[in-house]
Amino acid sequence: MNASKRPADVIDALHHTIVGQGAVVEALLLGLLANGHVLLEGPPGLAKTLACRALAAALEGEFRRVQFTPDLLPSDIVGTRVFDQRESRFTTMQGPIFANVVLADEINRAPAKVQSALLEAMQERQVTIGLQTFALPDPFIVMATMNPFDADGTYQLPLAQMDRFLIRVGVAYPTREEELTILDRFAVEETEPVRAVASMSDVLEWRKQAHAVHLEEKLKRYIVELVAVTREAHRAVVQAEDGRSLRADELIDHGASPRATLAIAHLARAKAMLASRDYAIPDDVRAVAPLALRHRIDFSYRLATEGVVADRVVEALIAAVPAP
Amino acid sequence: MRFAVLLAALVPLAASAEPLQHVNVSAFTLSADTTKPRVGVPFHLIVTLRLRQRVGDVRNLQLPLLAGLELLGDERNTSGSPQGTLYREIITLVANGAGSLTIAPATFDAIDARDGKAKEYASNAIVLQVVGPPSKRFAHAAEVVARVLLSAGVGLVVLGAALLVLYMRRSTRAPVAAAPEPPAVEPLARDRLREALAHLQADPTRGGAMRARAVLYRMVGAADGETLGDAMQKAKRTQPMLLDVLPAVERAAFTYEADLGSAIEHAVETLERAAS
Repeated sequence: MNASKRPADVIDALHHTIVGQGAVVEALLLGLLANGHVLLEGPPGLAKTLACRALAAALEGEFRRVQFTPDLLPSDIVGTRVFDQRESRFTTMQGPIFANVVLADEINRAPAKVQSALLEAMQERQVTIGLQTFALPDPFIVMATMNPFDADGTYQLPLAQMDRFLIRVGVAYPTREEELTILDRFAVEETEPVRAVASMSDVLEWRKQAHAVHLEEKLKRYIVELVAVTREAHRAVVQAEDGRSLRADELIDHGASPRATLAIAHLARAKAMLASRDYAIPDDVRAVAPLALRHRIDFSYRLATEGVVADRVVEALIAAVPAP
Repeated sequence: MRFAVLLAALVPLAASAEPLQHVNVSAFTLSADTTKPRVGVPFHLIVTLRLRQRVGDVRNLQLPLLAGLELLGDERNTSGSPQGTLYREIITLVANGAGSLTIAPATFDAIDARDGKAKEYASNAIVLQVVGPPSKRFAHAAEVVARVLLSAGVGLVVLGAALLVLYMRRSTRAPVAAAPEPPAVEPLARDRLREALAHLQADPTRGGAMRARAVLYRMVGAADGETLGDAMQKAKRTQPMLLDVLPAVERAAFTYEADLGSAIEHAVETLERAAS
């Protein structure tokens, strides 16, 4: 590993701007190292956009933000062909998706065809405009935000599209102490901009190293078991709001896909790398499993009627599988 | 006087005629109420088995053969709770001769409810140092010495009390704190560390590292299926001398092949240091 530039430096740089939100910052780095896209879900005003912007600045990368609205068109994201009157021919105008870090703000406010255009680009890492296909920059990471409260006029992302995100991370409110620090830090007129601590070529190098992190056979089996338990959820028990014990399979319609298996493996390697290890341990797997599983499980209506929080179900599922 | 090392032969598995139970074993330990029993003085061997399921009785649990020890009693207790079943067997024994005594692990045959496979679970082994009785030749001398010491003791208590009163009157300065003594490794903990070390030295492979890791996890009270993070949290409270050992053994258990040799060497070093 390049001694002068480490992923931990990026985390430090982000914490110069973002107060608290350690889990969010780490999730962004994990997504970056594991070459995946990140979905941030939380109320407005919790520094989701700021975190994404700060990450792009810390990496000297090109950052674009797209505010998703109900009247957005796919061409507003990927680009379009326009007629150049001087040259008397069509030319291609590339959309905001051609950047290293793309922030899709409030992704659930745009209709399904726009979401599909973005998610297809995320998966294929290329877009087709007219007859031409263009590769997206490398590294390319999409960070999408969703506000879980204002559901009116939104288009819920289908499970198949949620599956494209490597990580879904819930953004929580800051503590009182963190909020005091926010007051102090952002009370000044000019906040200190995030300084670049690494380049995009460093990111590519880190990804190679993360990919080479050793995952022992027992850990691979553990990962498979963690995903399997989402499909055989009768093995886990969850406490309902009124204290009753419910079998987790009563709350789940469909378990996670094999993409979750791959996601946990990639994330566990990235987590080990963040801890300066070149081998993963059960703790790495257990720590990243909720990030990869929560949005890939199709919960039934009973989750709401029984007053159970989805995160508690995921915790119970993970607890039902003994670590090696 | 050397005492022949006790070899505890296990009852062959084929002898267990009872059908195997479907259970999750969360803890299986063998312990003694003293690591230095005295010849002729009864002591207790305790077998503890925790299961995640509630079962009425525990079948197919085999105790090691206790050659060289006389069995005085055996008390078994099975209790159920929402967390599962706790089985405890207290065996009262008396040693016949002095020396080092190794009690082999107890075993429990069951079907692992997680994967449906029949398994033989083994507890930890125990090493005891049996202390011999005072010989008759010195018995009279010891009695005389004891009487003298008793008389002297009364005098010393009176003298000590007087000195204490004098010291408390004179002492107006802040008391000087005694230098903290290095944390002593409990004899039982040391045995467990040696057991873990023995696993690694006898089998310097990933399998040996996993067995050593299991011994250390049991030592800190981490249940079956818990991780290094859980074990470290518990070690901070109960066994701080393991804070270096646990990550070293974890590395040996999960590192890549090319690093395995040096990881095991490092784990052995840290175990030796902790056990010394």
